Amino acid sequence: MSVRLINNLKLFPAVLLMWWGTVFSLFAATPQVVDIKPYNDGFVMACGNGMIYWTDIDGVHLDSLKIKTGIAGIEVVEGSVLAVSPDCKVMKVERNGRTSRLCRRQINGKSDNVVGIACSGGMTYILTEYGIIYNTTDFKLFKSFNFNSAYAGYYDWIRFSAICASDNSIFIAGTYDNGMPAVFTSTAGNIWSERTLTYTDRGETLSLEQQPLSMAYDSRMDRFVLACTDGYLFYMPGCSHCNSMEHKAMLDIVAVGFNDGRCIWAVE
Amino acid sequence: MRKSLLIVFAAILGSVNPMAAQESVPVYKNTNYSFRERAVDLVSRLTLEEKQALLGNNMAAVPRLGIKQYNVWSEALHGVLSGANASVGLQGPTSFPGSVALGSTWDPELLELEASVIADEARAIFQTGTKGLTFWSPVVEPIRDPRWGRTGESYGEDPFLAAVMSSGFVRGMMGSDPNYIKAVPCAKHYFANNSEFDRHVGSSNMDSRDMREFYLYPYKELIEKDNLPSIMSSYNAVNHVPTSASVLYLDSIARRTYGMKGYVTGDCAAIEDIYTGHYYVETAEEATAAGLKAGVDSDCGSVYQRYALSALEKGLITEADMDRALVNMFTVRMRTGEFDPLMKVPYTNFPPSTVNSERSQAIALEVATRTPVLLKNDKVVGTEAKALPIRLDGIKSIALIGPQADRVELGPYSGRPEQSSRTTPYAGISKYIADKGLDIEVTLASGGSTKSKSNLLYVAWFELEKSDGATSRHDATQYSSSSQGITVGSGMGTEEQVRSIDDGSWTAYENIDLINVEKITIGANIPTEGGIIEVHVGSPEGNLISTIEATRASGKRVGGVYGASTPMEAKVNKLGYNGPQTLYLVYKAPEDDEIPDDVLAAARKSDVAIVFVGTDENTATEEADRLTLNLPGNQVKLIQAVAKENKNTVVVMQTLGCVEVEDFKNLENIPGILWTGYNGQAQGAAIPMVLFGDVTPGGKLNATWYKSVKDLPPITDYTLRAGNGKPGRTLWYFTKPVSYEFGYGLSYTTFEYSDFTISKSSITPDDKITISVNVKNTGDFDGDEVVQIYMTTPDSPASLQRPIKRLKGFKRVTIPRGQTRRVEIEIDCADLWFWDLQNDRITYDSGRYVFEIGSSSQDIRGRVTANMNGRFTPQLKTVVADCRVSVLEIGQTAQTVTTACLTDDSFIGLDKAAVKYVSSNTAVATVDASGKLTAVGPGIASVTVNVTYNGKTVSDTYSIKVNADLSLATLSNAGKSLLKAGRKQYSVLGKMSSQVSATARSQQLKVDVEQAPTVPGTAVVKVSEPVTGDAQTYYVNFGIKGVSDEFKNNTLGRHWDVIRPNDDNLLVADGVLEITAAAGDITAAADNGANLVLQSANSDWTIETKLQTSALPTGAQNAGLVAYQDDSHFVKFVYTGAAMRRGGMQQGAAAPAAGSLQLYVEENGASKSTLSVNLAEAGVKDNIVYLKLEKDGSVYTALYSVNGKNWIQAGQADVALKDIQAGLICCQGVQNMRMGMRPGGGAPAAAPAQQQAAPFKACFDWFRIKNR
Repeated sequence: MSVRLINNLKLFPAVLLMWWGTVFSLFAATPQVVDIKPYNDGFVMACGNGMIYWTDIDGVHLDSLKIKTGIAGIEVVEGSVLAVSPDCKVMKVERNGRTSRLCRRQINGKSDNVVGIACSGGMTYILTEYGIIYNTTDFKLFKSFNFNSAYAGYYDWIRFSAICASDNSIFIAGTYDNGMPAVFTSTAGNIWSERTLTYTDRGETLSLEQQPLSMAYDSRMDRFVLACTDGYLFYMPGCSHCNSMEHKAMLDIVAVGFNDGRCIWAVE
Repeated sequence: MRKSLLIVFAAILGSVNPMAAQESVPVYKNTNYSFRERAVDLVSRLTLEEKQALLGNNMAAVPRLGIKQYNVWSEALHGVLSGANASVGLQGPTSFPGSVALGSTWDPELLELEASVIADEARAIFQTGTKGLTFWSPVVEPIRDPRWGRTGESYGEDPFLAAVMSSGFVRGMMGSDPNYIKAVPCAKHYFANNSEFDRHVGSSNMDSRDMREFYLYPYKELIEKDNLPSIMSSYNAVNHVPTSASVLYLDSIARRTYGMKGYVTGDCAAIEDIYTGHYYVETAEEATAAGLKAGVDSDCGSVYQRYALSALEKGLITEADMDRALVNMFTVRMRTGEFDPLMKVPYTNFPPSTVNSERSQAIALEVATRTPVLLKNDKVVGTEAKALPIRLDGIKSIALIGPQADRVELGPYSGRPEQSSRTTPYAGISKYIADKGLDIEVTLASGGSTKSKSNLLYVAWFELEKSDGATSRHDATQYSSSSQGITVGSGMGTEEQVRSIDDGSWTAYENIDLINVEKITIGANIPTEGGIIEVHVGSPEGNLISTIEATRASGKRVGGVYGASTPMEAKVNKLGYNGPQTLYLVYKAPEDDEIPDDVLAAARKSDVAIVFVGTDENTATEEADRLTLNLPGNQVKLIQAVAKENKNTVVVMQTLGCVEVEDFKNLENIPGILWTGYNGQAQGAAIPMVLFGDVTPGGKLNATWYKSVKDLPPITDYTLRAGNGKPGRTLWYFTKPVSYEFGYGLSYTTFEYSDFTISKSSITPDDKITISVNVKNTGDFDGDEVVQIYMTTPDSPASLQRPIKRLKGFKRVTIPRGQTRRVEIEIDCADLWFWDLQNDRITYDSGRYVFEIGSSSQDIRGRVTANMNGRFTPQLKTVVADCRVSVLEIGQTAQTVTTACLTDDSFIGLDKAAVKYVSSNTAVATVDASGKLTAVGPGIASVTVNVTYNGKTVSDTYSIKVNADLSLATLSNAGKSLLKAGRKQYSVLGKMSSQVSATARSQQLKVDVEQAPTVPGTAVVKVSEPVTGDAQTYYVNFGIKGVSDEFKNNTLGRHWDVIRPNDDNLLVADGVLEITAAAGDITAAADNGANLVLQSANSDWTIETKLQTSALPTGAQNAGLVAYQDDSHFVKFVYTGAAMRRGGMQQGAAAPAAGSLQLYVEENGASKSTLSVNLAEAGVKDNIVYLKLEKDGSVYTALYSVNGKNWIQAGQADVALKDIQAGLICCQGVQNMRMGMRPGGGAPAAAPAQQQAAPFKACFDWFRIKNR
């Protein structure tokens, strides 16, 4: 597997070149990038093997460190990176290398895996592949919501793959048994509305068919963005009428991040 | 060893205060109540978070109430907008002719038929669970300006035509059942939303006369006459107030003046536009409040769903505001029968095969033959024969030419049938000729293109790069000057862009440093076809320093009308500039393609050349108006070129509306011109029937065809009357010559009009009159004629600038050749109103009302006149009453608010009327003579307000729910009160009397006590409100003292009971209870766990054990403590395996394997909560853990320790259990796993077999129980 990061803003060939040169060599031998989040004036990226990279806005490598746990997803809170492991350990990681464990919680031993972490309104949400949504304010007391169980008979069973949040919205994404993608939104994590994944292309109303692998929030445009298989980004603004899709790469996009109009993504 | 514990209630049930034999049906499921009452009840049961989640178009499922997820947004303008869905057996829905085509039929009954079939298909799709029944169709906005991008979605220019045709659609969709709606139409976009480029930010400014007479007229008609159940508030503002935030427009006019009952949806992102587009308020919470307070019930977007609760917290809205919106929405959902038994709903028998069935296809074809409008039919040069119909017996060859000859253009918001159901003109004509067995050569020579020259580009920024790499970025919207017509907007997105770019448009930027600039990058979006951007210096014609081909043809990305900019770069020719310059971005349309020689050759050699031209969705659409009325691409050039080659050239146009035709309509080699709007899937099958004379075209233009776009006022001008040098708008006020007037349309035959009569020569607004005329078919073909009646008021003062004429009646009739039909058209004189600007009400001018009867708005064949006399006495029309809240608690009061509106659309004070208030259930709510409502008991009540004015009484009814207080007033056992606030489960220890007595807080509430049959046992107290079905259950658990066990004996004591015993796996020896795990568990996935060692523990307690497992538990293996009611109700605190990781991510390599603890709760067979603790760093040694579970009522607190001394809280759970046993469990567990597919494709894998982990043993050193 090789991982490449590319920049969609092709305004700066020198920067782009640096992107390709620096970042490609940086990540060429690393495991899959699992998450990208905005961090101050740049980005922070996490790999499944526990590597965390800080970059500037142009993707130039600034710092990196490796934590002991694997990483399923990251979130940035007040300048710190929260990294959640597939078995639900949450580490607080500072750029200066200081790390501390916020919780040692472990999801139940039923082949489930954490797929991501997101923070909204003072609450931290952790999503597992089978739809358990843990929420906590202090990493001590956790509450859980079993999506697939709670909505059995109302929504079809979903294997989840991504979670993302803005100040007042939480989005979770996954795939139905029939392979079609699914996205749900909530404000407090208890009631979930399905997001329509249709979009218009030259007058034709079409539905997203690619599977979501990761998700990001683009605060500048106030929209959530799915990173999908086959190299697609799927944009979901506040207006449910106005989804759009863009083909960015020939490979699956495994992570995407936005910061002040800049977008970077990783392909597998 | 097994000791079964069977608790039998049956013998005792009924002997003491028995439970009701039958559960009450909640009101919202009870069809004996009105839909509104049921909606009120349903909303009363929702939590605040649920309410917020239901305020958007994607309404969440609420399983506990049986509410399914529901998307309010569906479209069905001319067919249900969706494609085929093989998984549920659906073909693509039928595409019928679109609105502008339908408007040209002037046949509302035909439209009603089409809409009825659309509704059939909608029902069939709904039954598959893939779509809702609320459709945001039709578009009822009249065509104010043909440049409007959505002209093709409107029924016509005159609001009367738009209203009558819309009425046909609304009736067809809704069906005729008195109770249930077949499919829910929604009239949009309320209102004055017919310029696209500025719809998110613009204000449609007008006086109240234009507003009422023109823009609001269709809504008024549909609401008042057809009980329209929904409208959509638009993006735009009117007179600087966003319609979606206007109490006046939505509440005062739509609801309280016209009387709309139903739901209002905001257009998608219209609520967001309130603060991000119009800056009418500053925050999302304020926009939420503005929308909800104005009356927008559902936000197609996410503002309500994200901000309603924070708006509530800030005091900007009340919960009642949310309730009112939800009641409106759920009332409509209920009217579709969604919450009713299928047997009661009349529209539930449409199988998937209904969709695009033979019947649907036949009706699509029938309608498509009735839409065409014959614009020209002269004699072919050198012959005495008219061009149309084409006589096939006299020709040997036909050339089908043009970009639309072999293409099907369905138009926006259409059903999307499979390609096999779409017939192109070429296919249709070829089949027609083949079916007739004619020896005619049909040549297809497409030629020409429909490439749009409107809205070439959206440009956001440009960036200059110098030779040293330095860059400077410039905001393209900050231009210092520009050509006329340029606008700036963001559309649906947030990126501001230069828009409305036409061929030759330019924008200029001063003080641009061009020294050593080598490259320019322009951030531009291509909405449709794109254009050329030339970079000039000094002037639009100055030095050209760079050119960018930003076109689809060049391979650049096409973002579409919603797209954001993409960087496009080009080299800059250095011209040695030394100082700041003014830079001009000049935008040009791509050069037209030449007409291919083979096209001209085909025209030359054929007896007839038929040129198929038109518009498509790239010409203009939602978000994008037309900047020109020319046929797009090189089609005019194509028509002219073909006409030079063939004197028998027939032009067939299919467009979204008016196009400029002056460049070819008078060419003598073009003797025939036929026009249709987007004509649906059967357009190609219908066209030969018309061209070859099977059907005589009978359509009439639904709008004025202007000679030139230059004749029109700016598209942003929403006023209608002429003034200040600008021309008036529409047939009402436009005075210049036109290409074709409103109502124009020829026929293969001719009609003579005679014997014009009117039933009354003196009229009042209360009259209905009949205007009659004889129409004789004097030609050689059977045919349809549309008899049109226009009203003028020549005696009205000139200062009032009354319209030149207004359409006030029409009828399409079929008349066989040679026959005469007496055509009678009824006119309701109340409809002849004007709006009184001074007094803000409807008025009628006195004097002559001349009714012009004709074949078009200019081809007037006769006139009849009546005098409007007498004084207009407005009658009471609309009464609206509510009390601002839907849910009350007992003792609360609310004031009824009532408005009364007259037939002149003015309001009266209630002091001028007699008002009576009547409560349907005074045991629930009383209402006094002033309208003050008092909640007196639980249940549902409706209050009817009867207003009598001038002898006429009009009523309105609102509904409220009074919540029952279901908490207990008393709860006692053996004379001792047990009651504690907020508690739903009580525990009593000891073998005293288990008799429980309880009372509710109201005598209207029913209290059922199911006594505990024995001790241990549980008494169940249920408090219910018999009318609404609201209920609350309380458990009183009677327990005996538990028995701690150190397992010193070699057998289990009598206090133990074993569920599903398996003696081989159960051993008591050496002070240890050893359970060998067997396959299974008691979790939701499998209720088969063996050897649950339990004892009665039906009170509050603390239980504890020391557990050592034979090996580290893996997978789902688990052992520990359990509080157990049955396999569907329990709390389990167990030591279990670590999670399996995905490939390559095994955590075990980095951390010591130590398993985890899990607190798992199941209620009603479903996992209620799951909390886990990773023991990786807890210091577990030899797989020994100490577990403790504390029960206090319904709250269970789990603690663990690795040494038996230091206890750590693992978590808490809350679940009310009864007849509880507590004890120990050990089982292999079940992998609660669902295997999906690997992202990227492939079929789902089969569900995996239960994991076959090695059995392991759990040794319990003790089980200690301490009762409280």
